[in-house]
Amino acid sequence: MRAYLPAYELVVTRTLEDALALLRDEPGAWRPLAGGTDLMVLLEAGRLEHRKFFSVRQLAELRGIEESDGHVTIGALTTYTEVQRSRVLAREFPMLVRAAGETGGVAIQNRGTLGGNIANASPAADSPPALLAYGAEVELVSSRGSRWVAYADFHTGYKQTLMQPDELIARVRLPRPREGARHFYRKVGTRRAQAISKVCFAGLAELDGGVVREVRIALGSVAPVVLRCRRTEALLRGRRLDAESAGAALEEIAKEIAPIDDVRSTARYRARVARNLLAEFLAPPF
Amino acid sequence: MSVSQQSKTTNQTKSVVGRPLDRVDGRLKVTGGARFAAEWPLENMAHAVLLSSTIANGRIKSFDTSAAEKAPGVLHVMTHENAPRLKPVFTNPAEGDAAGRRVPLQSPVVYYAGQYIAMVVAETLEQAKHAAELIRVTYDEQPPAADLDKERGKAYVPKQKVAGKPADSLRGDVDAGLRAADARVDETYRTPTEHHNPMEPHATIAAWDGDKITVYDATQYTYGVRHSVAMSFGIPEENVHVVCKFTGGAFGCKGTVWAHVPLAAAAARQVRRPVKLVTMRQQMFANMGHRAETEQHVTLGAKRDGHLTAIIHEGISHTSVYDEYVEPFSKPTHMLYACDNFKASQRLVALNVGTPTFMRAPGETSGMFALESALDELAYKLNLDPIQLRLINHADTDPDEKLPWSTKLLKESYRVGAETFGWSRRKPQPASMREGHYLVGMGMATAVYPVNHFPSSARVTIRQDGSAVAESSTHDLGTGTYTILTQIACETLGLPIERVEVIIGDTNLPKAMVSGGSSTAMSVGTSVQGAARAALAKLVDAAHADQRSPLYGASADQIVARDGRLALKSDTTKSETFTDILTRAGMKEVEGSYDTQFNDREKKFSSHAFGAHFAEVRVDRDFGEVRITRFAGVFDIGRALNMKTAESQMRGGIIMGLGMALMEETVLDANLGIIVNRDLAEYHVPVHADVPMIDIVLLENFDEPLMNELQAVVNAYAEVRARGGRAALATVVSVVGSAYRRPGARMLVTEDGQTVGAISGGCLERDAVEHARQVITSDTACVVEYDTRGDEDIVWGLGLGCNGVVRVLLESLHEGSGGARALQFVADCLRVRKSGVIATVIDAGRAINQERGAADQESGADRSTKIGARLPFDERDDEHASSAPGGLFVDALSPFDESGARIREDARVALTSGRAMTRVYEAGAGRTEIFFDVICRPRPLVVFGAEHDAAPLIRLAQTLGWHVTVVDTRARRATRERFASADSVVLCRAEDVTARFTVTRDTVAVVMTHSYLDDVELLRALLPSPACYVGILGPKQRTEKLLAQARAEGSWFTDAELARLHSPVGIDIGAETPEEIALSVVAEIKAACDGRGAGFLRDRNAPIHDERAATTAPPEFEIGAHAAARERATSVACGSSS
Repeated sequence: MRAYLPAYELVVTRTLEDALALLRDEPGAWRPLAGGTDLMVLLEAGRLEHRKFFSVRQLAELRGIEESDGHVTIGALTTYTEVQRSRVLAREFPMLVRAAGETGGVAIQNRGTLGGNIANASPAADSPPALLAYGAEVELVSSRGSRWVAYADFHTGYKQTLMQPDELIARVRLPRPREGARHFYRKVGTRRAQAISKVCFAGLAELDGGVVREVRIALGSVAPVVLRCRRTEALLRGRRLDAESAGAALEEIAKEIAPIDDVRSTARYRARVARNLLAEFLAPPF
Repeated sequence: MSVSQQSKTTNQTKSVVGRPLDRVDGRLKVTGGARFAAEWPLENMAHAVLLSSTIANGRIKSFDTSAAEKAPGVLHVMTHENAPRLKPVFTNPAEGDAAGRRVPLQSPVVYYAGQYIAMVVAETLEQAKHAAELIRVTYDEQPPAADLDKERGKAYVPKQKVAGKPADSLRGDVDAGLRAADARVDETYRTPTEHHNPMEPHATIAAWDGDKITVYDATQYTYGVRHSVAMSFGIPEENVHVVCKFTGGAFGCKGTVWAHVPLAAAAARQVRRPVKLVTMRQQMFANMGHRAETEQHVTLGAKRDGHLTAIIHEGISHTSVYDEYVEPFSKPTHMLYACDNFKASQRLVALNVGTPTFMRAPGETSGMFALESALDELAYKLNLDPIQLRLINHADTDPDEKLPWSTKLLKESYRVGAETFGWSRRKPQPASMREGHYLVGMGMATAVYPVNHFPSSARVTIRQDGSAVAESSTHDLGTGTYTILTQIACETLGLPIERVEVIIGDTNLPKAMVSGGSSTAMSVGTSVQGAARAALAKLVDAAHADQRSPLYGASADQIVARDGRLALKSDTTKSETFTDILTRAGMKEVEGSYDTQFNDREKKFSSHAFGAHFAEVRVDRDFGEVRITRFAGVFDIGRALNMKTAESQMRGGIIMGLGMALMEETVLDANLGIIVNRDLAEYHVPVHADVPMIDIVLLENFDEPLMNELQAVVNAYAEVRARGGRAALATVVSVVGSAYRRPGARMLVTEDGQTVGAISGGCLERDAVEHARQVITSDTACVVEYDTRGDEDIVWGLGLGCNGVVRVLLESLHEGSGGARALQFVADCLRVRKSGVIATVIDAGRAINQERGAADQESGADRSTKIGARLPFDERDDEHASSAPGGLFVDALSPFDESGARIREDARVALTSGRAMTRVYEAGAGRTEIFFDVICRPRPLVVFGAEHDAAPLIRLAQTLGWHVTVVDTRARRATRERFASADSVVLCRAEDVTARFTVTRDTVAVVMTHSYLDDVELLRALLPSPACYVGILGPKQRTEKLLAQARAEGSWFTDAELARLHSPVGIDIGAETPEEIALSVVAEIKAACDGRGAGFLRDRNAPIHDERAATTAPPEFEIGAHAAARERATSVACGSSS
């Protein structure tokens, strides 16, 4: 049942500095509200336990997509719609663009943000697997300063992250993949839009003459967190991609994931589909 | 509130019914002007919020409402401890305690999770919600029954009937049927719990005025709400006023008055203010019914040929622990297929859930899934096409009610659907159709739904200003009721759309029953029509009695209403406006009422809508995702009152079907008894991206008067048979010399001498009728020979100058006779549009008859080879003969076993050449003459482009008996409405044409899209196809340009392909108008396909009829012997009695 609105507090911070000061002064008391696409659902369901929020939507510091030689940096407030409209992302990070297009409906895409998707820490979210496969780093800012962390280390457990109570997600940085790399993103769900995924897969591979130079594989909805499959990657890295190495990878990924039965799907289905997704990712022609 | 069309002005009042009129309430809907139940702005309104139980089974031990009562704005907190005693509402007197248990907040017992246990009334919605959260409840919790599997041991026989039938039904002997079966299917099918999920939540506003109450409710049944509220509070029904102007979807869940309605009324009475109560989506999952989960077992037994010998449909569904509802999944199985041995059995399992209810075709949806799936399993086992299996078991009458069908175009639905969809491309082997990652499957199923109707009333008032208003308490659930009632009133009154107002959804208006079971259009529509007629009659009376009226003295049947005037039918210049009539008569208005009653006790027909669904499904091989990529639905629904809303209804039903087949599933936690996915984020209905292109064909115009002679004869016999009359068939079996009609020409003669069809230009008919009446009387068959070559022509009265010998087979028709079977075969050929040959014995030598007669005397049966005995062959060679029911044909010709191969061979020759012929077979001492008659497949004409100029072409082609398909690339054009007479209307892209159609050697294509790019694509597709004729509209230069473009895009055409191209299309007859152009095109097609030059016949030296047709006689053809007899009319041989 919808929570009682007068019980909540919402302030609008003018600058990033003000926002960080709020977090510094009362650590854990305040939470950022960006697009609200996750929080409003909780509010409507009467399950929004946190009471004090500050809006970050107006903070210009957290907006924009920037290119540098080795990276593309995306502000945390970048909406899914903005991700889809970015030329550089479409050209070099097609999986992220695809993920943004698979997230919710148009209204959600206009409102929801990349930073929010990360902070919400749902293991079934659509963009995190793409971010993991692209080797993303996340910039966390606080009044103490700023730090970059590997996104692969960011989620520490179900709905748990390594963020400190006074920190805010500021930007996401993606190393530019080599030209000719294989990008494979696939969301498997009940219906063709507006469905939380049963399994979500993102894979990036760079090959040199048939030998795997770099590979990153990530899966959603198969573990308490969006999962980077490091052991599977390690099996492939430096090896010639052939039936043998692919077979070994398929065996390994089955051990690496820990899917469960829930209202959306079954552990058995998820395990099988995860394997088939990897098989498709590794399938020739490469 | 009233609704009237504001945007469109039209003077056209003719046949408003049927037109794809935009919704008259469309503007109100999209501008927010349509007022739904929760949107009535009453003064001083308070808000009620219901609190739901968090346990599924047990008792409430205690409430702590103190915090809630003290919360800001709270006016009242109601629990079972302080609630007023509400009276039970009985839906039928026999249901006993259940009615009491349905009354909310009367006891601490909790039957299901989500059950209302308390209500808070406050100044604002937010305050009420907040306070409801503050109520503390302690329960005495019991483990719930929440798993159908676990509880199945407690299944019981329902107390109530199952859709009007006993829970256990039996017809014939299913055990014997299964013993007689060659193949058997035993399958179990499960369907999950499903929820209606209309967009608009259930909502009620209640406002008391003394002991009178007004209820604004989201409902399918205003009078039902009135009855229920009156009963709950023990007040007279007339004290309850119910209003529901718009309903935002219902699908069955708003047909019942659920607990929130009396609670809103109780709250309003308690706080002495109007109270609004809008239920939450989560609460709708618990408290407004649902489709029960089912587990069904279907057993089918069948003969090798596909005939069903037994159908058993049994299983369980759930109900609640406090009330009973049966999901009647066995309902359609009672009547859908012809089978003598049938058994149905349903049991109930009580669970701790809310009571299920009617949802989106209760019974049909769940039951047809099981039955049709089992039928597909059977088709696979028997190696039969699924459609073929359904045709074999087609029920010609209702096997359950033992009544004839009122209408049943099911076979046509299969046929048209198969064609629209491209069924012929289906491969039955599993996983044999693939496309990339996808396994592609095609499936079909029969559709059936009973025609439901309820008594209903309406009132129509014609006002002095020339406008009219039609009123009834019925509802518009989003289906288009406002619109179709407007159309009916307009058509009956002869008024334009904008002059008619429809007012519904109010119990102050004439009573209508529940808008459920697809009953409203028929029930209320009939009432509005009747009321409009009654009002009009009063207007006519006024004019009739008024000496100053130009209509003075005219009676009702002499007057027509048109364009807001009454006019004399005989002289429409004599007319006057409604306004003039009423003004002079000093009347402000005239009013007519009508009560529609349906007398089902004396029902003489079984009435159902039939149809067929076709789906193309793709399954991702690796991920198991199921996607529907194409869908076609063909329906026989009677007359569509509005083509647009009717198609929209069909499309909506199909989309709900997709949802239920693929996504919709309510998940009940088996331990807690709580619905897990009780919102629209996790209860998945299809999104737009899931819905493929859906082709809808409504067969309402199927019985076109446009039919060729053969079809007319077939239909006429069907009518004769239906009324129990008798008839004879005259068939021209041979012609020597010149004659007007060729072999195969047919005429049906009824016992009273009526004829349909013709065997000559008029010279032979009269005599043939006389002979025909004789054969009817004697129930025999004979061949009569007419020789018109002599000078005695004049004897035949007309002297058309024909010069030949014509032999005519005359035979009495009765069930199972050769002629009747031949007509049946012809009907089949016409229906499925296949070619066929009928071999008919027209002369049987005495020697054989004697021999056979001796044999028959021993067997005691008359099995002589009779004149008129038939053996049909269809284009798939002679399979039809072996599978023909009854096998009479085979028996009759069995003495010719040694010549059987020759007969078959000759039949093939006739079929291939497409020409009728006669042959004589010598067997032993006897000789038998057989006439091979060819039923040609109707010429398939495909017209590309659905512009207005296509219509005359289509009409003309239909008159010739051609089978016409209209194809267009634009949805708005290719509609059944626009080309009602076409056999099929298809929407597809130009480049997909050859994929969507089976183009055969006899296909004729005419391209008239008026679109350059489409024409290029079509040329590229059609020229290399086997089509025998490709005509394209437009000047030569344009066609040259098209060809150049096609070549530039990589197409290469051979000379033979280019020879098939006719452009500019048509022969040179000086055609100007679309009708003339149609004539020119059709003439060219006919000439081109028959290899004729299309010149003047006077310039032709050869006979008019192709000699190859008249004298295909090979050496053994012995017609000359008969011709030599030169008898004017001789019975050459008269059946077995001669």
